Amino acid sequence: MSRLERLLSDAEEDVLAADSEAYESARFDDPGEREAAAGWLRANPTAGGVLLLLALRREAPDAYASIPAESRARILAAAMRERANLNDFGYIDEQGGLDREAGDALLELGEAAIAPLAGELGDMNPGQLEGSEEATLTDDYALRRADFAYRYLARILGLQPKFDPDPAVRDQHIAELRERLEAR
Amino acid sequence: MPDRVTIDEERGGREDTREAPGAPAPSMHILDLQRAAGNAAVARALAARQPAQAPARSPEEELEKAFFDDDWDRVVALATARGGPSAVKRVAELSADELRYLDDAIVRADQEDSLLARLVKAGFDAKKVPEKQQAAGAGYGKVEFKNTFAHDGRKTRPKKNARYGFEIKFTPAPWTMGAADEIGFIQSVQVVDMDTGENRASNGRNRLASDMWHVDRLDGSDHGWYGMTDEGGSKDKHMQLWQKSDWGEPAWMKDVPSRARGNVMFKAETAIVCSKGFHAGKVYATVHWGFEVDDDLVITPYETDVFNKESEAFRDAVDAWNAQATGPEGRRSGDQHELPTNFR
Repeated sequence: MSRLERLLSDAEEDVLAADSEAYESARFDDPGEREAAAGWLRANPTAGGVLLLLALRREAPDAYASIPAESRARILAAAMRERANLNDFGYIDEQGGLDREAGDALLELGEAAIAPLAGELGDMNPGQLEGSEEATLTDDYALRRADFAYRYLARILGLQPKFDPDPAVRDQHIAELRERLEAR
Repeated sequence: MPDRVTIDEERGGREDTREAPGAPAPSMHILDLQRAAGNAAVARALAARQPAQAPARSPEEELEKAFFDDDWDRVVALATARGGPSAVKRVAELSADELRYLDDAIVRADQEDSLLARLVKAGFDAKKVPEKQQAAGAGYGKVEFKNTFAHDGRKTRPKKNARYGFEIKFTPAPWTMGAADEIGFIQSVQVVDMDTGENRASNGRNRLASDMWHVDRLDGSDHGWYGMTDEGGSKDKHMQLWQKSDWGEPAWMKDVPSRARGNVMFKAETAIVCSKGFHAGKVYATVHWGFEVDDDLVITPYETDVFNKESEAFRDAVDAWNAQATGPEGRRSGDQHELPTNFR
């Protein structure tokens, strides 16, 4: 299996970036390999490409930049919607949370990520996190995927994201953000 | 924080009084011998001068060394095999906390009916430790635990993680309250693939100790205390420190490990530890719990055991946390604090 295939396979299996040996060892020293990866992502802006995208971002910034920002944002938003666990984005808690690779990539995309993330603000499916204490946060706060979309969208819009342990209060925060988006 | 005294420092007052192996006989002039008798004679002379191998220790000496090293598992192995007057004497000299370490080792070795176990009981009695406080984990208060749920996962989309809920509560005894200002939890976990033994934990990659055990904390946390905020307080939703100022409320913690991929084993050793006060660093009890998740995301809980004191693997995990805390930037949180190591 090629490196590209292994990265796609790990994403399909919902392996987290931190758990993926293919992600850890990805280098993209060969220009042909870099172009093949970027080409695949341009043609397939889906959740399945998220580990490949993040590996390219880390190892081959030029090839990563050659993928249209809209496509990169679509891949990341799809990952937020479809990945079993959202650890690659980071975690959310009352202390302000933590950003990991996918979260950093969204913030870096800025404007291009607004529309795809806005589409996730209504996703009230559980925002599962794998692990021990990290997974406990999902349980503590009944985190939803929309909470993650809100966390990044607010910051891209230059706002300080609010966080309340009560999901009903967070719904109000999300509604306020929607209003801001509509007023743009 | 009070001054920390490491176990090594505590041990500093003791001296190893065993004699060093005997020194070799006074040397001869090798060149003179070579001239007079040749190389073979030199070789024989040199061989004869090699220090005799240190004589094997007697069983009594082995036992003495195990006590000296606080190697409680070894003490159990030796004493249950051969007992003897020195074991009786040494056990009688142990402090109540040392008896608790030894008691844990006896349980680990499944030797609860041994002579050594009876000696430990006699030791507790001699120190007037009440019967109830002699039980594992009961020396400093009341430990309660429960598995709140075990939800199997789903592999088909929408995927659902396998989730396991576990809670621990500790109510300090009155004599403990006098010596503690605050009590919290330090949790060490081992999360490994059941086939390969590879680490499958989602945190702690930069602080793995022996057999993948590591202090279980959120990435980016400044404190190694489970559930503690960076300011040193409680995260109300999943951890509550016991505070002297609110002495009626027990220390409490909740963990909900969750896995999307199966074939994984999760084991935790959660230590209840004094975080502030005269007892700072002292381990009051430990709870060993865990579960495994099979390929189909079906959970099988492991038996939960309460011990008096921390294991060697736990100490290694704390050492690894502290090494991370004092290690290079980028492999630790910005202001990662060291954990105590004076658990006794």
